[in-house]
Amino acid sequence: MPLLLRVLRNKNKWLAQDPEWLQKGDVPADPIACLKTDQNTLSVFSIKDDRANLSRVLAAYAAKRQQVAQIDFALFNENKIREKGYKMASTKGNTPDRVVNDWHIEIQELSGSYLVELAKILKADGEFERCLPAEVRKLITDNVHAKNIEPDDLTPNILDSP
Amino acid sequence: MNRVLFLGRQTAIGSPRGIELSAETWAEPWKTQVRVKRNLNLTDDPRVAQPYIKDDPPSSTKEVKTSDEIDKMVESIFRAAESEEFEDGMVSFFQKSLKWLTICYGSQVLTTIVSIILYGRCSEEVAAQTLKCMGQLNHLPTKDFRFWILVRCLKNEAWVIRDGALIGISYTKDMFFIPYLEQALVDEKHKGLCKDLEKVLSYLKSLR
Repeated sequence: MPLLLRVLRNKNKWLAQDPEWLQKGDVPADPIACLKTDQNTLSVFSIKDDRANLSRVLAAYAAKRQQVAQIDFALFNENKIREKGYKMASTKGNTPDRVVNDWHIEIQELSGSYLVELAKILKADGEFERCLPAEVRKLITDNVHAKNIEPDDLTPNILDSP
Repeated sequence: MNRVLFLGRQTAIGSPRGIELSAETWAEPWKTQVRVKRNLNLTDDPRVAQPYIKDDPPSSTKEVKTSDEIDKMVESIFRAAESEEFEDGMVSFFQKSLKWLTICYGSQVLTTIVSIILYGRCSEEVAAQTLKCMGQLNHLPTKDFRFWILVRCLKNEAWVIRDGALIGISYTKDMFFIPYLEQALVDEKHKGLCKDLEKVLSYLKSLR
């Protein structure tokens, strides 16, 4: 089952208990703020069935930040998104790892209702994970050693941050 | 017909956006920073300087601010933070200011922070960002006080604040927190936080 990875601002917003007023099958508004679109497009990464490329994607994502911090993310079934008719296109990612950039996908032409529908899919079937700062640091270091990321492409002093 | 005015957030990260502040108030923390940086010959990165900074800031800095003035500076930074958009891994103006003030004025700043967080005088999001800073800061003179704040906030009513405290703790790499996290795990109701508590606990235990 191919997966898609979306980095979230706080994965615990998705796992919080639903408010009492929420109707069954609906999704609260707060988590939707994690799905920040640009040009009506949502940026995700393709993750292989065996998740062999997961750590490389996370390292590349973390390496473009200004400091080491936790990464919250959701993994969800790519087939479900395709079945629902979402328009998806492979586009170049913007990370310091060229290979990871090829795994970048855009979910395009998102309307408000499509975004809410996507949030419902994520809430129902998504896997929500957190990578701790120490794990993130190790991922970056490992991928620099493996020459997947050029040290010059890192934010200066990123690995000195706490 | 009544109309509602919606004021959207400004989005630039790391830039001053406390429009309710006067230019003078806004500049104050930075003036202080520049002075301290000059005195101690520091780089722009507070982390580089931390091991060399004592709780006692240079006398020139100390004389400049009364406790009321420090309180006002902290409060103004918190007010400005309410309109700041935070992003994990990106350095925010709030974070920078808070770290510098803590380094310069130590427990005086932390006392004000405690009152702001515990009396709910800031949003949960800003409180969580503060707690992440408390954990990131590597400043020995304020260590006990910062750790106390993190432990105290593990029991906060709001899960967003407990989450912030947990992330802050994960930065410290300090086994001091293990018993508190074990207790928090027993009490925690939020299923996402339970998983995170277990993860941080197992990470800290692995450091033994």
